[in-house]
Amino acid sequence: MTVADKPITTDIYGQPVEPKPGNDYITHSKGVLSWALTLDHKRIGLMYLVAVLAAFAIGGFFAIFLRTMLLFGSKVGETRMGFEVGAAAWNDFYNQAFTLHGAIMVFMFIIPAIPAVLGNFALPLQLGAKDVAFPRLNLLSFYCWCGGSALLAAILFGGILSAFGIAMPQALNGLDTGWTFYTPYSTTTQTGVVLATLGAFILGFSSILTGLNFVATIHMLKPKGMGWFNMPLFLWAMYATAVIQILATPVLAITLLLLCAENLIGIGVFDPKLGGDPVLFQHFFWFYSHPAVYIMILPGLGVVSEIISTFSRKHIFGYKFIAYSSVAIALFGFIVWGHHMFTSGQSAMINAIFSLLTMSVAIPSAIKVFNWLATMYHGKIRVETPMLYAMGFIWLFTIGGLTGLFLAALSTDIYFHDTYFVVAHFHYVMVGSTLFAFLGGMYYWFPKMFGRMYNETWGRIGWAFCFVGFNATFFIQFIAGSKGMPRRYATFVDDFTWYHHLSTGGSYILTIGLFIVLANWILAKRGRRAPANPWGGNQLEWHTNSPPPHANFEYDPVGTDPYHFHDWTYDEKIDGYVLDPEHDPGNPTHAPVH
Amino acid sequence: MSDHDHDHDHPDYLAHHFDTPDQQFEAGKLGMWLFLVTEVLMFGGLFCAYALYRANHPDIFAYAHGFLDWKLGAVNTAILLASSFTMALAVRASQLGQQGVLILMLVLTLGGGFGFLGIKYVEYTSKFGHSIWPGQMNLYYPIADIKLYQEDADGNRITDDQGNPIPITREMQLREIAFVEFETLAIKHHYTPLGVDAEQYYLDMGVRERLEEHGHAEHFDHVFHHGGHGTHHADEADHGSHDGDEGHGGDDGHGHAGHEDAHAAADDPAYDYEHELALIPVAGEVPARSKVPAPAYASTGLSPSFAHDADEAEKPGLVETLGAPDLSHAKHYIPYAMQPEGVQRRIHLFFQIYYCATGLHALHVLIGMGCITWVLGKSLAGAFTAEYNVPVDIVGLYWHIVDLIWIFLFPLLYLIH
Repeated sequence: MTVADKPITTDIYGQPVEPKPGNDYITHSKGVLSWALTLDHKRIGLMYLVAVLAAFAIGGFFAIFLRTMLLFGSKVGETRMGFEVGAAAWNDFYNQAFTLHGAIMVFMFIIPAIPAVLGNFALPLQLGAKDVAFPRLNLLSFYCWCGGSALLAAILFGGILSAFGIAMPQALNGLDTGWTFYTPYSTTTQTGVVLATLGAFILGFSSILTGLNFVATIHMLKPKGMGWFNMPLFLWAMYATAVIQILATPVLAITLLLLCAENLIGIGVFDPKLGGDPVLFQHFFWFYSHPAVYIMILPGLGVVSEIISTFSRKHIFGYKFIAYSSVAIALFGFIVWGHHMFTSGQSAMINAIFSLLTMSVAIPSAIKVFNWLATMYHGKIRVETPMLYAMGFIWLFTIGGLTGLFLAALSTDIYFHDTYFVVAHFHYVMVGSTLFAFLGGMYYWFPKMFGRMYNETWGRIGWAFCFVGFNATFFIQFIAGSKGMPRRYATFVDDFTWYHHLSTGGSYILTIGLFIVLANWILAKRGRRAPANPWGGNQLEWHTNSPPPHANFEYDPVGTDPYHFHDWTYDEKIDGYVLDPEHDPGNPTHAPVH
Repeated sequence: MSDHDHDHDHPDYLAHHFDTPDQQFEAGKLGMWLFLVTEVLMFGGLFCAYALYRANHPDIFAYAHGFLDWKLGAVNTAILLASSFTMALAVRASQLGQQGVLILMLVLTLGGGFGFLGIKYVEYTSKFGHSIWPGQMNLYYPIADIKLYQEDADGNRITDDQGNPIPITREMQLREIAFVEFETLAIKHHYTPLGVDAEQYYLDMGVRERLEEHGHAEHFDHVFHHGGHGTHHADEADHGSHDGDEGHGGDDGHGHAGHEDAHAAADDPAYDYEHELALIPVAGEVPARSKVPAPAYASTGLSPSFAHDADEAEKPGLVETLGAPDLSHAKHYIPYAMQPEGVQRRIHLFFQIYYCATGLHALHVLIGMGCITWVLGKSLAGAFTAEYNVPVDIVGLYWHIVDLIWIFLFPLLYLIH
């Protein structure tokens, strides 16, 4: 029986630590209130984890539901799933399904997923800080998420009830505008636009508060020895993300308030019938929502930078380029929104400018990809679950990014606009990339979060299902789109039947994969105890026990080069890495602390 | 675990994750500045909408801004500036540990907030009294969607057979607008109506009759026969009392205004205004109307040279205005009925933007006052010392941004030429 099998964990020096209740943040205090009112960033991160996974499950349910409807999309007139295919009820239900899928996934899952879960958990740890700068705002941010989500959930259940013939007031009557709320349809539809926009408004507050907190934390709470250029790259990515959250989200807030006022009292600012301008809404909306795409992807880029370097056992290549490219993506993100309106009647000159700017985003994105590849080159690569997700990320992000160029080019975009090509492109970026980065990051920090190891074999099997399932679902959609299959249609001509069958089949495989991931996490409750540093990373979160104590560190850590891995040696007994105390600049006694 | 941080000199107000009070203070300040950035961007959306509509439709701003009372706006600007000053003094007092001064300055700042909202209340109610509401109850709303209903002499809504209220007709809307714009722009704010035979137009719209009912017919005559600027009014004893008479619509006001008058106009074939609207060209051209030789139609800002076409001999009341050398500073307006259809349809947008911007700003004033009250409560409890005064500083920053946003809103909305 090795140390690893015993119910004890080890500290960063490989010394056994008896897990006493109260020693770590999970057991620090007991009771529901100690969680509901906690100011501990790690606990708030865990609460966010449960919350966004619930949102992901609901959004995913709608995704599977609409993909299943599309199995029968060519059988117009026949009865499938209790509806006549192509009849008004079928179409309404489809519209509601894709709207709620999109709105829930974007506002409740993808945007908060990495910043609010992994960011909350890992960001202060990577800074060697005891908490974020404003712990109360952090908790408020979580409850804003809950409040906004409650409104969206109310609409969702109202929509389901009304689908079963129970009359609902308009405010709760589902939502069928698409997640984009385009006017003038969103001011004329008989569904719950007002509550949905209010929900998104409150979720926006949650996002702003998180971003504000992170910027202040990174500025004010860097430890001794850590400057801007030996911060882990995840922090650079989170910083860039937070800047977008702070600068873009308020514009969405005012847009949604105006849309609410338009719906409630008819101010007409976006209604052509009343002298208003519907394209103004599109500009407002995308001025937020395009940068929001980078809120979704940038944290993922940060996670992958950490994983690639740690699992290649090699210093990250091109640190400054990766750091600056995060900032560049954030800034470029603000000046490309017009590419969503190439077909909305913009002038040719503006279209050309936006096209050029949009393509320029490819430069910082490619810088990151090449630097990751260069990091892996001649590294000692450990292909374990987090690394599999990171490599999957590179694959998916590259496809998603390169197909973005087709949509940035004016001539092809006119053709691809509103087809499945667009659907496939943004799913490759949002789901393929962000979801994979989220799952990879979860596996990466899982031992630190819960102090337990998950099952590595099932981790890889789950990854394989996700990777194959995802590509099967969405790659075929590029082809369907390029053959003219329009998005957001509940029915289609026979020619597209097989494309949709393959895509739906892929979505089922992806679902199986995601359930394997979930089961693996839940069953890890009985997994072996994690060592302090299972991967041998040198970022500061690995300089404390797994799970960390309430105050994060036993002593104030000192910032070092986060990608200098040589002081950590692999210890077979604990299947983890240990640090020679002589090489621990933060340790005041140069000896294990007990 | 966490307790081990509190064994050495950690003051009570210092949170466990900060090392020094300075670090905590700087973090709080940075957080507030970032929050202020989000406020600026949120209002930025409104300013952007404003800029777009003003650039595309300058006429609606030229016409509608006259309904705002720049004097009240200026007073409010002064009040907010003064309250920002007292807030800054409060921050200084807190840093110097001057308890009494701090409390006094916070009370004065709070008083400024009340003063601002009080004046805002006066402004809003004076508009509501003229049916210039936000949303579909705006008098200028496109008639097909308007939510103003016909009322009888007692102010009760007239209903149809099914018991549904009957919206006002286009003619009622035109007549009511004529009255409201004449009363507000020409009489109260001393603007001169330009356009085709303005006096006859207002007579036909029954404006003089309604003024007469209130005993103010002389205001009508002053506008057209005593120079239009209404400089004479300023001396009149009853002028002020009329300004305060916002309740004129109580018995025969908007929407239900003058059903009898409606018949009178309908009986007069010479004043088919729907027909006239069709004849009105785009802004800048001469409105063709055979009855009048040359229209007294002045600059909308688009075509300044046009003012020279005014037939000065025809309308002695207007000559004084139009003959003035620099028309760009003359206060004048083109009556609603003589505006192109595209302008008419959009005039309500000015008020919608006005209400959204000032309403959102007023909400921020309220929030700011709430924060000041909180700080005041803590000050009374003696929570702030020369060492610890972060909340005063941070609330002060918030109050300044509220002030700053108003400083942009005021000229953009009230001071349009």
